[in-house]
Amino acid sequence: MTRTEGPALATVPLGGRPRWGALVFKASAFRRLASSLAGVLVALACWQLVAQVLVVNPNLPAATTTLSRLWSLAGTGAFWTAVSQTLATAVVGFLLSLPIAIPIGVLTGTSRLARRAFHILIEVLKPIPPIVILPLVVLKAGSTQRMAEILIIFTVVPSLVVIVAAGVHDTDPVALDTARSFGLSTWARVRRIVLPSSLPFVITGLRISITAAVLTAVMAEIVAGAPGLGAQVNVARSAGDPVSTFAYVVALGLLGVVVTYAVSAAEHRLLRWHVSVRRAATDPIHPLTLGLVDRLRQIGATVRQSAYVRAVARGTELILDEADALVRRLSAARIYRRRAPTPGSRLRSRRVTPRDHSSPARAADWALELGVPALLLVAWWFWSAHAHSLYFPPLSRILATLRHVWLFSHFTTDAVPSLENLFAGLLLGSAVGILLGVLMAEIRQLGQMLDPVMIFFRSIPGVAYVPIMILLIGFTTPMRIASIALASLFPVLIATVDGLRGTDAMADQVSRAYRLSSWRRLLFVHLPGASPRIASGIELSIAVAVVVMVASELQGTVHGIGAQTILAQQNFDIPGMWAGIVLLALLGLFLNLLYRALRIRVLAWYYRSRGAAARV
Amino acid sequence: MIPWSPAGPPGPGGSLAHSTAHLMSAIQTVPSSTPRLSVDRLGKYYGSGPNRKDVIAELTFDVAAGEFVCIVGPSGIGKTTLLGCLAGLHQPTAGVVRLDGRPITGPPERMAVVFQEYTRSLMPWLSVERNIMLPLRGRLPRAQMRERCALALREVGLPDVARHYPWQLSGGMQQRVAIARALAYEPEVLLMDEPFASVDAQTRFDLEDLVLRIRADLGITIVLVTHDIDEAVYLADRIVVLGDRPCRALAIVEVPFGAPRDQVETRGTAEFAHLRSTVMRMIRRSVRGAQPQDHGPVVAP
Repeated sequence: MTRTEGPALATVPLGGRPRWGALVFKASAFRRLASSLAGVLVALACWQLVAQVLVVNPNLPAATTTLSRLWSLAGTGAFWTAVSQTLATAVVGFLLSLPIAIPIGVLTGTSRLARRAFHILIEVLKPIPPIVILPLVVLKAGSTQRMAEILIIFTVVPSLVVIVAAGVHDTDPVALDTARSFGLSTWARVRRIVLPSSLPFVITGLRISITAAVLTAVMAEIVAGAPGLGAQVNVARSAGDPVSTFAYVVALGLLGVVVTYAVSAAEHRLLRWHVSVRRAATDPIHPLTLGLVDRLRQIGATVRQSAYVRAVARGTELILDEADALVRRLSAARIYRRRAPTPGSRLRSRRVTPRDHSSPARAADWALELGVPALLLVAWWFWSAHAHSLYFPPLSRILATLRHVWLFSHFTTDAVPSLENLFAGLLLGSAVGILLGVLMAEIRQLGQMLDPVMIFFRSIPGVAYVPIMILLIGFTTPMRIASIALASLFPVLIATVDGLRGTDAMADQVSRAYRLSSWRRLLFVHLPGASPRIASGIELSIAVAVVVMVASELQGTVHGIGAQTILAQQNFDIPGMWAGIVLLALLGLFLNLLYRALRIRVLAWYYRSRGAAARV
Repeated sequence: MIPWSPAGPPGPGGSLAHSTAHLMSAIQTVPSSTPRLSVDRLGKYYGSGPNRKDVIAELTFDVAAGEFVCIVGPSGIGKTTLLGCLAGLHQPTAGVVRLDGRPITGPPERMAVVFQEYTRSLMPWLSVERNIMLPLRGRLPRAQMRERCALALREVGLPDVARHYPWQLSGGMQQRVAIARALAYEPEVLLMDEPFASVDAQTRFDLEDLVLRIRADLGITIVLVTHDIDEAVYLADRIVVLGDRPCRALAIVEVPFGAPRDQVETRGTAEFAHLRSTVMRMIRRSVRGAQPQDHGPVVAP
């Protein structure tokens, strides 16, 4: 779906300039590298110019100063200790998440019962930013790596569960029917069909989780002082050393780039025979933002037909045949009797047991979906009422404080300013992001030059903008808005560029054949076509913005939801802290629901046309 | 559908011809000595050096004003590339395409294109009306755009779908909308790239008759690319038969049928069968020639 006709057309010399045969491909790769390099140099030059000429701010060091400081820092052992601490935190947190997320994912993917039971719970937990439980975790575990690991688990588990479940659930029902008609046992069906087809989902899910784990580790370090590279940013900032602060933030971005590329490279190796992977390799922006579900679908479809998987399957077939024969012998000897699959099991395939739409069954589904979260709440209510735990006060008290503090006394002084900052920052960031994205996508040369710079900025965690803005602006409201805007700018920018670059070649030909003026082409064809992708970018930005909003209030103010929550924590006002946590969680949830409702309205054409296409 | 000619008494489409009279008013007549569209020693290749792939070489033919020309050839021969060159979407690497004597360097005014893939050529985010008005924006006042859109939709037999979205319509209806968009643009030349390849057989007959009627109503020049020989014989005044690699014109075949054509009658004549087999023989011979190793199925004795 690229705008050019294909690889061949891209190299057609329209102006009639001569080319040199086989050198063309190497030359274009070289040109690409050179233009990337030029983009980095241009960005650095801009920084230098801004710092030395345009903005006279003693706290904004020049690019050269910062890079030379980074160079000298990289010569110290402390720097590498910090890097290894960050990476260790991320890896440990990631590994601890796996035994929680994968079984739940497989369970919710295979069993309709489990899916119903967990559905609302996961949908509620997913949009809640991990920073909300930070005060509690810090209280329990202190500013340690353990604290950061707990936070990572909270971040990684819900999204990984969703991806694993989607992979397992995506198993082709025809394949399952075929397997059933040949009388394969449940175990054989899991091994031969469900696992191979969900493998690419799982691998991609793991890649995303590792990246998220690193980002969360850095977030915990910056915001809560867990040991690692992120903590150094704040140490340098409070020591009044702007050069080192900037140097550490640059180091964070570089670390993010390295991790992203390393993990992507690993994924490419594992799935290198796959078309979408090969295509993505040529476009550095693409793998970052291609709609996850679309990508997983693509990969899944090819995996099922790939020679590689068939070879592996043939190998395991022999082993499985032996196992089956053994099972059959055992069951014949009445030592082991195979149990029939449980009712409602996903493995019985969608076709054999079509979904029951009768109203009692529906009511049962809903009861299950709502009942499980309700039951958990009730359990929390009674457990906390009798536990007399210091950290988990009775839920009734939390709710009383929530109502008392946040509905009445502190609503206008704390909740309203926070929300104002959030919306101002989000609007500013999204608007600038879309504008810059349009420039980068429509001016092709510029866009390709700046790709690596964009990837660098994307790898800087949003909360890292807070210390920088504190240095430049101080503890003020504009600082908070600027931090939120910067953090929400890059997801929107990248999504816009990716969406515009993915404009359908056909739509482009139509607008050329009918001689649309270039701004009408942008307004009526390119931007609407990119809008679903841009909407996903904004959704990401909202999640980041809530985190940065809280992070920007943790220091230098007593107003704001984050400030009040951290104040309550520091004063050991545990119900007050919990009230803040619940409020922030509700805020994250509410914003997400609101945005989704808005998106479904605005992009109705997109969802309904896809629905129409799926029906054909 | 009852066949009728533009000069004849007002048939079922006669009133339509009246209602669309002003669509025709803008069309200037060019002296018949210069062809409306002339393709002169056209060549097109992709890549360069050892990777160079020649698609079209030394292709020459003319299209007179008001003529209906079908370009037919086996799939993958470069028909779509040729159409892209005619539409000014691709730049030829050799030779020249002229419209009314002037070389085409970019998409010319007063030329409309209907693509094969209606799902992608109609924007899913725009309603049918807005899709049709898209090329008119900035050129006409709003009321006039509306009027033209309504006329064009009536011409293709879909007067009531203006507020629908393309994806709410069937495939055949979507292609009618794409044709309506081309008509509302008031082209002198209408290029169609395998326009009926993705619709079912019955819809295809209807759409073919629709295009014939439009040609009779509006007198525009139509160039239609297809791989379907029957379709080419049924629709065209002349057929350009493409073949060989890189592709060239194997022959230019005159089709002697007059204006009223009928799916049953015309296709049933001996002349139709003769033309059809002539063109088919040419194409099959060219395909065999291009693949000398393929001698057809091996039959066991």
